[in-house]
Amino acid sequence: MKRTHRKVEDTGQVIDVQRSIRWPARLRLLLFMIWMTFGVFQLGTQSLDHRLARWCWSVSNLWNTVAKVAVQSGAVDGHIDGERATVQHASVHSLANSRYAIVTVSDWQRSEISILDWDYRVMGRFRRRTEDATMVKQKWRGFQPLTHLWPVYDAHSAGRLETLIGFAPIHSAKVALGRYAYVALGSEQHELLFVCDIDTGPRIPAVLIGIDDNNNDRYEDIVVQEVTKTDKRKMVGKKPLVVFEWDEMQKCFVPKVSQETSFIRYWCSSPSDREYVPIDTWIDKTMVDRLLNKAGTPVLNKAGTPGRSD
Amino acid sequence: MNELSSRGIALVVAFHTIVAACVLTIPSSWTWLAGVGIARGAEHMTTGGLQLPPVTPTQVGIGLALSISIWTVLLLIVYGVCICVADLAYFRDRGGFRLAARRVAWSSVWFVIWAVMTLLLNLERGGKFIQPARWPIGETFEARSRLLSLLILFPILWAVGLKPPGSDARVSRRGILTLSYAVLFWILWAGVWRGIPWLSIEAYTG
Repeated sequence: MKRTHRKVEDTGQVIDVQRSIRWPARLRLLLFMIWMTFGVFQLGTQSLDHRLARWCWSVSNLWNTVAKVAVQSGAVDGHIDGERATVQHASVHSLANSRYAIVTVSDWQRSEISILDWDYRVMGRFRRRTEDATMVKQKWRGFQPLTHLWPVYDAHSAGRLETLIGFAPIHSAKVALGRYAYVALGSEQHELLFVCDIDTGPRIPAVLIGIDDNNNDRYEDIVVQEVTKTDKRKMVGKKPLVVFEWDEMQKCFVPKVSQETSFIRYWCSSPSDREYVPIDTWIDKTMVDRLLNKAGTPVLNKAGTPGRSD
Repeated sequence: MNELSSRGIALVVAFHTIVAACVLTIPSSWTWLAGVGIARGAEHMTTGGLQLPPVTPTQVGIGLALSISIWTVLLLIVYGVCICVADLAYFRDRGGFRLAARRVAWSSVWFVIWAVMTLLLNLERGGKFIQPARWPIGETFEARSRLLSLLILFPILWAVGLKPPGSDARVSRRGILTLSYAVLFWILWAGVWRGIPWLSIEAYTG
């Protein structure tokens, strides 16, 4: 419908009123088209979203958003064997003035763990699985996906990240119990450097497993020490029972047993016995058991007599 | 409402929007963390599920402010989209546009009613309505789900009773007219919806 009015201004100038009505209509149409195009193609939305989510790295109760951003940006696959993972979990750690996130996508019994830098670049990843429901169920805190135990870092300056993985049921106390594996993460394959099975008893009721430069050679060693509780129920470590010292020449751990060792059986890699695992292989208890059996270390029970079975 | 000045209308909208935003922030983890901090001390301010380190009081304060601000902005966008619909519908009827715009302001009271409803539903959903000690943290509806419930009903509530543009339309067409305005609202919202950074919004609204 066209409406044409000619109007004479006070100045004597004749203006076309129809034009002044139609231009806003065109402008509205243009804005509408821009609006809908912006919505349909989501121009810049994801980028803006990821920028806004940066603060989530600094606030612990928002860490899981880091996992969501990692999945949305494609840095981490949100599926496990083609099925959408039910859990997207993240924790953030600091190392040498930089921060990294450990993102876990999981369907509870299987987890894919990725280590990402601030720019969501993948620094390492590994996969874990278990058939033991108690591994992911904690009495007081509910379910936790399978992940790692230590913050991940390049402990031996070998250009690869290393971490400890626990295969014991989750419990609130930090004492070590059950199977553990120390893994060096590669881009195509991982190396299992050390596995152990800890079974404490009346003689040594509780131990901690930790990493420390025990012999001051500037390389991190794995230290297993007995612990006691203080009056305030805090765990206090006593002197080490077993130390697995890092041999930089041979690139493996060497056990230094100083005291009672009936509570632990272990396997360490050696130049003649390396254990590499392709990056997509599931790391599980079977793998640890195979290495423990291969080591042939005596199987001792709490009383120190042979024959404990799992 | 029709006698109110533009400033008065702005105040009504602002009041309803901010009250609704505050109510919507109640079931957020920020409120829970603030409560824990006041009751038990700052070192206990953690959602705790994964042995997380505690958040700081500053972070909780910023979180609360962010949550209220984000809800305020989202509700103002709802208001703005209604104004756009009114502008398109009453393009050649500025008197009708003014009435429709004032009606949006009046309808903003629904923001508060809806916010209270979602809070009650949220408590009922988590089985906490009868156990106040357990609320508000837990199975909260995500911001997206909550807003969606508003977006379905609000344009209809707003458009009911609006007069047709021009004076020649019959009253019997008002049902179709209401639906048309609602559909126009939903189309415009579809454009907004996909442009909203939902990940961060859902994180910060707690």
